[in-house]
Amino acid sequence: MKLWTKLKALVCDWQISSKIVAICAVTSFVTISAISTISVYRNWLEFKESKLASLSTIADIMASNSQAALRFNDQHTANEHLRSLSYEPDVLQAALLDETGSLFARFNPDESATPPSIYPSDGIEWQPRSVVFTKSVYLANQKLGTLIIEVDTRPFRESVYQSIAAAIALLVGAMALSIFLASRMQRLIATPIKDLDIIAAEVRNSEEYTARAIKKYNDEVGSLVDSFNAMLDKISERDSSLREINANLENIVEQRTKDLRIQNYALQEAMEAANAASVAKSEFLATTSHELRTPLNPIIGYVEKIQREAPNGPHAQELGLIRQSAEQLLRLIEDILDFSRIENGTLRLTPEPVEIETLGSDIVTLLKPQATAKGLSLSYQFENKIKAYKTTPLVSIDEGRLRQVMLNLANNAIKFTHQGTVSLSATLHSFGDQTGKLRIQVDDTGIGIAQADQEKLFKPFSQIDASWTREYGGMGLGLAISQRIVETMGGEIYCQSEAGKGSQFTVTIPVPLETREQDAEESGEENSFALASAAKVLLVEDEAVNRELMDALLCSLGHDVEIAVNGAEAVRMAATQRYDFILLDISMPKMDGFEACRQIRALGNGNASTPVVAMTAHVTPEDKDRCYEAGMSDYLSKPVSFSKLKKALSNWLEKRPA
Amino acid sequence: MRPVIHKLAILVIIALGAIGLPSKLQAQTLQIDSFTADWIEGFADFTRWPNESQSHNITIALIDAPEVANYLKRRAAERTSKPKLRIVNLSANDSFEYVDILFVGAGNRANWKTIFEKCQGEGILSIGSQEGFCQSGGCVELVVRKNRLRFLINTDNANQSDVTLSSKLLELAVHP
Repeated sequence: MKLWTKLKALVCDWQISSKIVAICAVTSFVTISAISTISVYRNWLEFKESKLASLSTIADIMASNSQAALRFNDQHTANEHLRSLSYEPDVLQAALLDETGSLFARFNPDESATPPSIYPSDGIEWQPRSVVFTKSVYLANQKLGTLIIEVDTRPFRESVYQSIAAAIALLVGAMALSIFLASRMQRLIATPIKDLDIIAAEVRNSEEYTARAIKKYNDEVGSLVDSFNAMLDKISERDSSLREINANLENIVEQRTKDLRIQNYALQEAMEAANAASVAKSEFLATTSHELRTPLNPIIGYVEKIQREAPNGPHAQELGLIRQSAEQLLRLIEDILDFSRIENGTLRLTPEPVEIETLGSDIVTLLKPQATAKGLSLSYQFENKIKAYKTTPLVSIDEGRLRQVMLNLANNAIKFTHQGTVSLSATLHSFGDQTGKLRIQVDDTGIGIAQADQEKLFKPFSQIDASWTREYGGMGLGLAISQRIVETMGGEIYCQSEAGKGSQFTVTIPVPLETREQDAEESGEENSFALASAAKVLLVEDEAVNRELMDALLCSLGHDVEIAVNGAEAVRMAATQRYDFILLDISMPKMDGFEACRQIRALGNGNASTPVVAMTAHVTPEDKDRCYEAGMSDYLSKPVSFSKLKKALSNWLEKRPA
Repeated sequence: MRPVIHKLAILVIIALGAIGLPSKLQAQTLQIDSFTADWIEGFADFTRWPNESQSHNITIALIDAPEVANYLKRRAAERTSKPKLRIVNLSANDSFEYVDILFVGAGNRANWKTIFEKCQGEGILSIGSQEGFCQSGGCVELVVRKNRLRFLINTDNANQSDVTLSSKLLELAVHP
């Protein structure tokens, strides 16, 4: 089987012409071999039958002629008769037996030959080198004797040999003729295929589809040539078509590239314009914020100072109104800035570990006076549903922004509730490994919101009723900002309300959880919010009003204050004096706060480690980052309240080396 | 004394010879009769008669040959092949109607003429064992050659008797 597979593989690799010749040769060989074999066999059969028939006839004649000799016991005549077989060269010997089986007459040309043995029955017996005919001699149904003739089989063999020789000669001749004719005639089939192969190879190598095969005959190969040429026509046509399409495409691409380039230029210009507008807007907002905050700083600061120094003064109520208005104006400014940041996509979250329970409690504490003033009951409830932690875990979240959202929702609830209760609840749910879901819910018994109006809730600058603006104040930015902050945190905010039956605002935010580490330290820090001991403070402020206010606040806290009016002066003073605390304005003439801080840090004297706290109306995160990059320790946004200042001083002066 | 003994011995031998010779001759005669019967039967197989048919039985008549007839009768009885043989004893004066083969025994030379005349044209194969039988008008004459029984054939006489003898038989026949 392996041999046959190998042979088949070998033959399959031959050229077509060789295959055709081989097929013809093999076919001829098989056919002629079969015919020759049959012919030899038939010749032998015919020869044998004719020879045997002839010998049988002779035997019959001899038997008939011997009847009288046997009947009348005439051995002489019988011998005479047998001797007539000498004319048959194939007869080796003959014998005539009488009815008793005794030898009656014999013909034996070769005297050395042994007489044939007796064959009782008539017929032919084949011996290795002879054939023996046995024929009974009858006369009137009476057996007179037996005639035995032994014939040489050499003529039979010679006949077979001659037939085989003739067959071999015929086979060789026919094979030679077959191979010759096949090798001549294979061209009829192989040549067109070879020509086709050459054309195909030429097309393949040159990739030129203009070449065509020449059709010579109307047979299958001719049909193949037609198909091949048709295929080349198609390919050529498609090639041309593709070239045209490519050329068109190139033109189109070139044209579109040009268009795109133009559009890109336009877009770039538009983008630059937009960026410029955005920058201008940001700068405008920053400048507006800065310019608004700057005067607010002394307003709020001085009102606070007066209220603290004379809480029951004759104008205590008016001062309270001034402070409330100023703080409202400040919130508006902050809302506008926040919304601008959100719309610009520049809102940045700074996650830090937050204790939610405390945060909520602080907010309630902050809003309690406002609620009490309206006769409302404000409650707060915190629930930790995460059981995997021993104590309530901290959540990693931007505390300021979460506080802003919670304050906004609670503040709105108080604002739109005239009687009844406002309740704030915070719940921590388990949300997976190391992750929780913070749910904040604010319920009120206020005026409620009709179903149709609820879709306006989170749209910026929209109040459900324009009259509300006049009644309740605000620009309608609070919920819009809260929604965007929550969404930026990956959470969602939704409202359930009915007109006249109060509202329920729910916020859910996924939050990473952190384990509480050292409560003792934290509580220690909280307890450290105490007035620090007297320190040598360098106050750097170009605005005279602010400078005086801050000087007064610092002095009221018992610190020794030295004043510089710009950065350059601050650097000079820091070069000669060592301070415990430097409060540094940013926007100043001659040298701004950033550069002043860098130079102070670069002095290399004792002030290199002095806490430098920025005090600025620039409140963007970028401004904050720039402060830290310049080497400042902390950041206080204007207006700087007494409590903020006190906390900062407390923080940083506690850390100074003893 | 010795010549007397010799004479006596010769006489004894002669006497013994005289006693044994007739028995030997008698045995030879019996053997010849048997052979003759056998051959007469053999001639029946190599002879064709006019108007011969498949069911044709051959009648063999014997004149003055009772021993041969006895042998023939025995053979005819034992014969299984056709044609069947019928053996009859006749005299020269009897009718030869229905006779196919006629064997003429010794001592009938005087009747030969009569016999041959009766056989002529009648389809009778005449066989004799006496010398000159064929020359006198018989068809077959049994002779002894080289101590073997042979036969002569006179084809002319056979033709005149309207019988045909097989060439095979003719081939075996000896010449006078």
